[in-house]
Amino acid sequence: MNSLLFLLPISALLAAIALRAFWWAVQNEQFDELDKAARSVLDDE
Amino acid sequence: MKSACACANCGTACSGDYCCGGCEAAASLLSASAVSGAARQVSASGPAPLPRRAIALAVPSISCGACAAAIERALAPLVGSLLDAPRIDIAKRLVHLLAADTALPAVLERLAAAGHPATVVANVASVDRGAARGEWLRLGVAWFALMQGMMFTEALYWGAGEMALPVRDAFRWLAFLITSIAIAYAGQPFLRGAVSELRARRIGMDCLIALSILLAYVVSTIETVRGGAVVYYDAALMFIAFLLTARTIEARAMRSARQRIEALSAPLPDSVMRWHAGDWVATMLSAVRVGDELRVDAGAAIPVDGVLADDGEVDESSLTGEPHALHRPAGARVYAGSTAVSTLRVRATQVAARSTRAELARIAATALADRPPWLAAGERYAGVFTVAMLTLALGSFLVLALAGSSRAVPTALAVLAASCPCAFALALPAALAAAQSSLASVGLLLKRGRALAALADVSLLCSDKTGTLTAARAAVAGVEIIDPMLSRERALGIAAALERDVVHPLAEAFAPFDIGLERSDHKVVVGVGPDAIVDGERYALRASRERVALFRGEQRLAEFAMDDPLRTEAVALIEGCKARGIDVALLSGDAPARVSRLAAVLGIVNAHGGLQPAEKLAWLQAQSRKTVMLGDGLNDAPVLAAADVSVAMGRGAGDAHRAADVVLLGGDVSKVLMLIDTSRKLKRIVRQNYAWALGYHALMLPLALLGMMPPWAAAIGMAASSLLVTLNALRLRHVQSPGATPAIVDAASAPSRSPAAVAMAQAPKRSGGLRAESRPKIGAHAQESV
Repeated sequence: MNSLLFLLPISALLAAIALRAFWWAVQNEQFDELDKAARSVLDDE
Repeated sequence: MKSACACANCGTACSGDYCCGGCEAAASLLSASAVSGAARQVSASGPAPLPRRAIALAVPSISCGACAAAIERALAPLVGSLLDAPRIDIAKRLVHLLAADTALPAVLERLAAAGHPATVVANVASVDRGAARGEWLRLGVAWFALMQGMMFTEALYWGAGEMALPVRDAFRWLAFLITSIAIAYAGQPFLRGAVSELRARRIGMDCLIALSILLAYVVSTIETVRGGAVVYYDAALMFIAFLLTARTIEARAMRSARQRIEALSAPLPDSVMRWHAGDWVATMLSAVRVGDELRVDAGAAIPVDGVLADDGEVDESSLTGEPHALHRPAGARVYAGSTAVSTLRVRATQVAARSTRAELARIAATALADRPPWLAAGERYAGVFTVAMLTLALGSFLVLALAGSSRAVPTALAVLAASCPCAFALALPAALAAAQSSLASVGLLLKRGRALAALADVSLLCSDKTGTLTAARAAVAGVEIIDPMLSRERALGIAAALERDVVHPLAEAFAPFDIGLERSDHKVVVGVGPDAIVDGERYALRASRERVALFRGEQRLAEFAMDDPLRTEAVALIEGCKARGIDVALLSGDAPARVSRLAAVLGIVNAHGGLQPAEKLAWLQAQSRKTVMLGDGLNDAPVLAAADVSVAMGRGAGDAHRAADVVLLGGDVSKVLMLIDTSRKLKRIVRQNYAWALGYHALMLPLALLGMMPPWAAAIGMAASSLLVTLNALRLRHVQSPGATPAIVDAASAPSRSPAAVAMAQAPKRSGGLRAESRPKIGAHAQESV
């Protein structure tokens, strides 16, 4: 059970990093326009 | 309108009711609709009493049409003196105002008093983006919290009994921490929703969800503190993650269903080119004043309502759903939101915030506040049902808890989740919004939501004639040649040359036959007719009642029979109605002979001519069946109002004001069939959803009550069920065009698709009346009479 003392903070850290990455992605317009890529196939130009 | 100083038809100064026989003839053909239409448009552009500017208010508490209606009511006393009628954007939770600066404190105060506190928004686009990002972040946090929380709660399940107490408690406190964050951040939409439901003294879906989440959370916290047997943090986390996911998918689907409606409130380009001091200058759209001249490049959206300074081509499909480039002469009205096909010069007749498009958006936003009665009944049942379920859940919790059963909490949670009234709460607004949006995409503007429900049961369609089944426009129906030396084409060509550039309803009828004959010394004698030298000889046109005669000197060369041509689509409408088992009746104030002739062409048995409005009204009221009345919505408003559902025919985007439940913005009368089909489909889909909801609850509730349903399964069931009913409702996004297409080949080959042209070639042949004459060569003439 002592291993938990290391593993818990590590998992918390990983989760924090992942959440921070997600937050960054949202704030950097990654989720603002989700249909554009699908539509771009049909665009001639 | 009839006065001693202006012609009641064309407005030319004269001494009698009409300036000439032609106007009298035109007026008898066309009824007063065109005239009062023109008069209305002129009087609508009066000056504003105080300078006003566009203001956007963010009102986070707007969630449905009822809120929009409440806001309209709250602001109604200020409308007129201080501001224009507000436009409410439910999806973005914004209220758009055109108000005097001094009105703002009163507006904010009234909104706050009505329970909808508002804040002024500087940049509408940024608010919108912020809201969408918040949605994503909440979803992300909900799922991260679920994964992290499950790590601990799963360990607690599997390790139960073997785990040392300090480790168990540490895990529980960690789960508590994660759940607290998830509820506080990701659970906000549910908690807020519950609060606003309670404030409205109503128990709905958000109350159930919030109660489920809080019940799981509070019980678990108490258990954690006192070191009890089981905690339910995972249930709270799953509720949030699953339901938020379902809600996000639904919101996105709704947005795509509302696309047409939303497009009406999407911002037009901020910057426009304005003619100023001899040059085109880029100007803010909001700074454009009435009378400014703007340049709209080909392909760009027209930013304001206005009139064309010279001829051009316009595509009004974004407003009327009719995908044709329309040729518009100088002086014709154009509407904000339509697309310039050629580069245009437009003189603004209205500031941007008060455009026709803004008015359409306003009507669309509030239309659904007027719920069909059976939907309102459904919602009431849903309310009763929800309260009953809540009582059941709490009852089972108390009974089991008092009996000391460990199943008290999971059973109560499962019952709560299984009792979600999603089919009522979600599917109905989604279905209505999708139906409204798809109707808007073909130019059917829904003004009162209850019309949609009533239409499904309609068994009799009553139609006016002029302006509804006919185009309300004079057209040449036949040519009688008196001088054998003259060919038909030439007779029509000469007449067209005489009427070229003449502003008169009859002149328009000849425009398609213009073969470009040279003309000089042209003059129009008011009250008599045009006169000119064409191809070296002097000709004149003289009108009397329904006929126009071509003269050379005193010699009568040819006579043209004038008629109000049938719309091609009228044939499709009548056939489509028959195919759908709907009877058709024709009620007209026009001469009985003309009415019965048209009825014969269309195959309508039940036709009544020469009716006064009061007689129409009496006839309608004598009907015991559900009726839909089709009219022009201008001078037949009382008759329309007497029908169960009324549909007004407009010609273009500017006709949204017509008094009816539904306004058809294009000229295609057969779209009424789409309206009926959509309404029937709506009824079918709503029935399916009710059936699903009943079946779902009948299966899930007993299982939940018997404790055979773990809370997580109930949560998934709840999310899946609400997704299913929403997606089913969204099938209304697509309207099929009516099955019965008119079997008229000419309609496809005529380049203009002008109903007049086709009807001219077809109608007389069938009725056995006047012989059809050569079809017009050029068809792209203006569809709007000015």
